[in-house]
Amino acid sequence: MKLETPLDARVEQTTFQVGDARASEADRDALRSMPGASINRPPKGWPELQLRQIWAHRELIWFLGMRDVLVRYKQMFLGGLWAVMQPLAQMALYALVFGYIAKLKAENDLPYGVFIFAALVPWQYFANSMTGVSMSLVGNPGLLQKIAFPRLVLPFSSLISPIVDLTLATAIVVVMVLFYGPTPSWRILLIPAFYPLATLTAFAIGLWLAAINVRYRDVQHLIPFAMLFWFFMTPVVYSKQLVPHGVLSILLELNPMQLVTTGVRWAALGTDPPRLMSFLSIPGVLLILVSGLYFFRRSESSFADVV
Amino acid sequence: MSDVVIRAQRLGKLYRIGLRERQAHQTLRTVLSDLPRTAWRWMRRWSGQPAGTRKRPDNLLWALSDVSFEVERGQILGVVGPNGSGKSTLLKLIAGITAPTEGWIATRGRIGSLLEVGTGFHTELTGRENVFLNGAILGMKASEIRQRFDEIVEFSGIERFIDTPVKRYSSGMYTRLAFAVAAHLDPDILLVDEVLAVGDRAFQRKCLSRIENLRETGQTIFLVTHATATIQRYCTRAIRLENGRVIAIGAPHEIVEHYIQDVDGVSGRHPTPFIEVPPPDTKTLGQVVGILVMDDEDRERAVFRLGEPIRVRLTFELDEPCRQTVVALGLVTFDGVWLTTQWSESCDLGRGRYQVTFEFDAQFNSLSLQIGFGLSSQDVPVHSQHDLGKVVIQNVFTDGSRPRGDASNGVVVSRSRPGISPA
Ligand SMILES: Nc1ncnc2c1ncn2[C@@H]1O[C@H](COP(=O)(O)OP(=O)(O)O)[C@@H](O)[C@H]1O
Ligand SMILES: [Mg+2]
Repeated sequence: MKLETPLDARVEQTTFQVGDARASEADRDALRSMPGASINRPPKGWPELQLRQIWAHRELIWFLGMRDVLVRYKQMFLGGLWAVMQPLAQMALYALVFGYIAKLKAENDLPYGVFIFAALVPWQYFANSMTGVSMSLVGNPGLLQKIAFPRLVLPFSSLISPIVDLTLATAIVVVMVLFYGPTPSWRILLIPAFYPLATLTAFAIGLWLAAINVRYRDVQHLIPFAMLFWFFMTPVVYSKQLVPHGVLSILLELNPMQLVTTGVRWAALGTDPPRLMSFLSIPGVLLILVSGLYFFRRSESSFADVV
Repeated sequence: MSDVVIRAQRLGKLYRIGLRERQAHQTLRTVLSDLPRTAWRWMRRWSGQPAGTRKRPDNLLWALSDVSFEVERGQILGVVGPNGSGKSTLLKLIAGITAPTEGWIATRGRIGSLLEVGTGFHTELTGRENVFLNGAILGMKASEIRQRFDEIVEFSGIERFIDTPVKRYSSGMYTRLAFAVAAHLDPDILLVDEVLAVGDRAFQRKCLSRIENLRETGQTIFLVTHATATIQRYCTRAIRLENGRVIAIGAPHEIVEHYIQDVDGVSGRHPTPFIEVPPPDTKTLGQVVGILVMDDEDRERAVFRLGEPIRVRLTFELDEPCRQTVVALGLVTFDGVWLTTQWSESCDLGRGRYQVTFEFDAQFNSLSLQIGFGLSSQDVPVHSQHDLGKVVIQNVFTDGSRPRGDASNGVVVSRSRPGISPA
């Protein structure tokens, strides 16, 4: 059984056209006898994204993703329980500090724990995904050095395992809403509708970081700081209504994770829906995504050499 | 139309060396203290100026340069060359793992690369899970793996452990399973890099016969190995690399014989320190300062014919006195098997420089052997190391006749040819 396009995994896969300015006369003669050959040559100019290659490697993405899932759940004594314990423990802590001690008010007088948890779940998912994507290259040096495959496979595959935790945690959100929340409405079905934006944001920024990380390992140490900062700049442990009107509240609207957490809270708990303005963050994320894809493709030819 | 499947033109690969080391030691502290410098480096890089490292030419290394060749379908190419000559780099360029700095390389067909055994294996996963994962990594489709799963497991010979996590495997079992997956890959071009050296002999033979089968199906194979006998036996052509350049392409036996003759077996890197006393009071007890390989007339020599005597003179220094010291010297294959060992007499030695001469017979079928060294005394545990120097034994007797068979028929060569008589 052969792949349809041979070597579609190659770093630089282009075919010299007869008449291609980059091929000398001798090269063209040499290649004429090898129809359909793949060529590995120094990268030049802007790369093509070749997303079809990724689709062709979907099985590899799946297997690598499942590896992460299996390893995670085998290593952990408590297995799936851990996926649920972690955000629950965090929720308890934040509820204690911000709800009980600082006496912050949840919207609609909801129980503070439930109010936090609904936003903490997508946030955790986002943080896990983004860390996973940004470490996906440096965490697999063996693959990069010894195997040829489209490098984008790695960041894609690292998106899979956080979804398992997310699914379990979302089930807990639903249970909580049924017990402690307001009467559930059809909106609860819309909880997952906000998740793809978290995925997209994590992937877009993770791509940049993953590629930079290969060359400058120092960047990975800055990620936890940046995430902490971002966490508090996103309404998770507090309500968006508490933010005074001004520059800060406008910046908050442009934070895509604000749209996600506010959206999930709205769907689960019936708090205020996200404002229309916050949808402006979506084109921003797409811009980071596309530029990240190009940046990644452009740097990938040296991944094997420097990782 | 000729059936060329690989063609390389003026292929060159430039590496920046030293870069890795600098990054390996990055910690949070150095990151913060280096922040101004790092920022400056980035600014320069992004403003298009070459970073500092690029200016110093001693940081640059042409791992391959000006390499041109072509390979036709069905050939089995052996690649020989000393460590660092660019063999692995060449395979990486063929596979498309990394891009060349200069020139280009064109390939036709699906490539299977086996640059390492078990890439992507995860120790927490079971054998079964790893077969699927590793198969997918090597480029097989899930349906293919499923279809060949039983074959793979049978080839590996570890049916009983297939649902056990790989971390419970012995390293031999691990290698067998990893190899079994790779052996069932069905590429048009197969690249194999020095991986045959691992695994026991029976299994190696199994893999080589597999390679022979592949040849019949018209696959093209690149085989990098230090086992020059393997190249002579299985390859249809050989390439010799030296400092990143192709210095010869041709018939395997010619390439291998020239290669062996040119190898400087005699002088290793000296002095070589031995016996590190473990921390806290780390110190070296001494060092090997010279090793001289000679014939029976004390002339320095690296290449011997079968049956010739080999003299090895070892000079070492002791920084500390050692009681009841015994020095041992042996011939070791590249896989680390000690073929033979000789021991010195045991005596109390003070500080100072000593020498001892050992004599062996060149009666081994392994073409190229390392000289191994061992030292033990009442005061320190045994210390041994394999790679003090090299001896090359040609596959020919002193009178020019050739032995039957090769290393697969046994390591020790015998001259005797008993006659057959009616019983
Ligand atoms: N990623 C890398 N970065 C810097 N130098 C490298 C890298 N890979 C290989 N080299 C250097 O290139 C040279 C050739 O290496 P290699 O192809 O592995 O040799 P061989 O396989 O023949 O032993 C060596 O000197 C090695 O140090
Ligand atoms: Mg090598």
